[in-house]
Amino acid sequence: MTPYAPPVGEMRFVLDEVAGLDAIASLPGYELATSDTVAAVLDEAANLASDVLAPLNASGDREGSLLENGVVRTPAGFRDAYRAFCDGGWGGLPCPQEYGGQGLPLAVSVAVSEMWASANLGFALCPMLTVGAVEAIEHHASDELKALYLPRLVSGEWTGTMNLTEPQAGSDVGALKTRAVKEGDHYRITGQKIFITYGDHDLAENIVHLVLARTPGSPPGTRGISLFLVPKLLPDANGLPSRRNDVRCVSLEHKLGIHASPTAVLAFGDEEGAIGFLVGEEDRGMECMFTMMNNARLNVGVQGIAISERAFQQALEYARTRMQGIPVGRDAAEPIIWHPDVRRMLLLMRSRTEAARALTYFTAALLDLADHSLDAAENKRARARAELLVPMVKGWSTDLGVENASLAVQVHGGMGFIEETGVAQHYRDVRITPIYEGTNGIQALDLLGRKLVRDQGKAAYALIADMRATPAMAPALSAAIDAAEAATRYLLDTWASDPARATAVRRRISPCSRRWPAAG
Amino acid sequence: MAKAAAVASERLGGGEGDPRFLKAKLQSSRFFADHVLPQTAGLLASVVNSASVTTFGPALL
Repeated sequence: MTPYAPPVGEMRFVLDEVAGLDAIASLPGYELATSDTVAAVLDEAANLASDVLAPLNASGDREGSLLENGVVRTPAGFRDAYRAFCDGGWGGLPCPQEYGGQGLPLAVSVAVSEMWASANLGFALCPMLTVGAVEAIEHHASDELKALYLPRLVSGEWTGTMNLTEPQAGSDVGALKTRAVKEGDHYRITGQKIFITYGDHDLAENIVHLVLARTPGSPPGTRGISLFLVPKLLPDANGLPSRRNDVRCVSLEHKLGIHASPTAVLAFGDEEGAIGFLVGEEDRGMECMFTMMNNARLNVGVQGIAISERAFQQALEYARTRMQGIPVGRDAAEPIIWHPDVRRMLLLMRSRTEAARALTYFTAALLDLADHSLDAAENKRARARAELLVPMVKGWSTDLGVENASLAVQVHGGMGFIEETGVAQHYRDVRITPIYEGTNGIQALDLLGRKLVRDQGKAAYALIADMRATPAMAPALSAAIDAAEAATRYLLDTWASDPARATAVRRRISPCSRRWPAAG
Repeated sequence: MAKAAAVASERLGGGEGDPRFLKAKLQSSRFFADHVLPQTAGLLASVVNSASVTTFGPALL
């Protein structure tokens, strides 16, 4: 199996030249993110990714996480790897310094996250969810909850989860039924949650579940949902995990991929009701979710790129060494990379991976600008553009991840279909990415309904105008921009006259967005 | 990719940076422009001209 070689040079190039790291490092709070510091951070991350995480990818896939006697055990080596990860301070990279994090920009954090996901997607999900929990608590929880939970989550001592899905409530999160009843300073939570990534495990001493539930008499649908913090072990007066809360892992799913990542069915309140603490206000839980959504979706887009990269590296290595036949135009047997069709596949993988990476880091930098710029107009512009691009980053990068991993299997020929080769794992692992964190159909609906219709295409047309100003415009790019504009116009017109018809093409908008990276 | 290509080309012209990396970046950009971007024409046709899915009811599926 090909060892993972983190593309640090490429990452630095994209951060410096496409995302505009210099401008980000000049924002208040991001002064530390100079090109030199970022280079050092990327080099260190590359060591951990290639030396510690990547070697556990195949074994983690084979062993998987297992539930035995009520305890979830992660694959061999994961506990040590997680300790090394936390010791390096990696979990808190994008988290605020006041809680022990590094406070680095999202643009840097996505590059580092790409390495974790390339090295070992099953492992990388655990810290990714913890960062999401940190964000939700930081923005919406009381000072008391923040003081108790944030330092422990940022350090990685405890990990976080997101509990949205129930058997009848998937994309339609408003259909959820888990109940929360107030009891003094806390609530009692009762219900079943499914598909909870790292819902139980043995990597850390405690798990902080963020749970969406309904209070009695709340309005139906998404307007009646509240967010609760439910620790696996309730902390005592000193903040040490002590008493077992009434939440239990009932089973783990048997999945197509990401076997190392335990996907739990969690039962809340089988006995007296799990103790939960309200985050934000009652009935405002969806707003808390929206706070995290941009970063979470961006991070899943990053996973698509990460697997594209890893699968490409493996396919390239195989194509350079595998001898098979005399390529057309050559005199003797050569490695299969000499066959034009094999090179076509490799170039397709590499060029689309690089394009998606450029778009993703560019979007992350826009979110940094939106959060940290002191110029109110710039702030607003950056946010509108980032929000337009986020569903494209998620939808496009993950669709490409699947296509690229499939091509990587293809380059291997019959060996690609054999598990021992290792490339099949990437194909299985990446298949979840167009599904979770909002299916790509939901991304397309978000792009159309929220991002295009809400401002009547203002942000989209502004981006198109900027793309037209690209220096040294290639004719293919110019034609693609025309297509983007025509599609935008058609969708806006059709939405006005026949919304169902506009949503019917929604799944096609996301592949069509492959024109946008040209400007990224 | 266009932005990346412009920088790569400028640096190569100025003799800066790692030439293998920069040439590979130009190769990726060129391939993307030649082989990926033209797909937008077909996708646009599918979005704009094809009969909408709404006219194909679920009964015959």
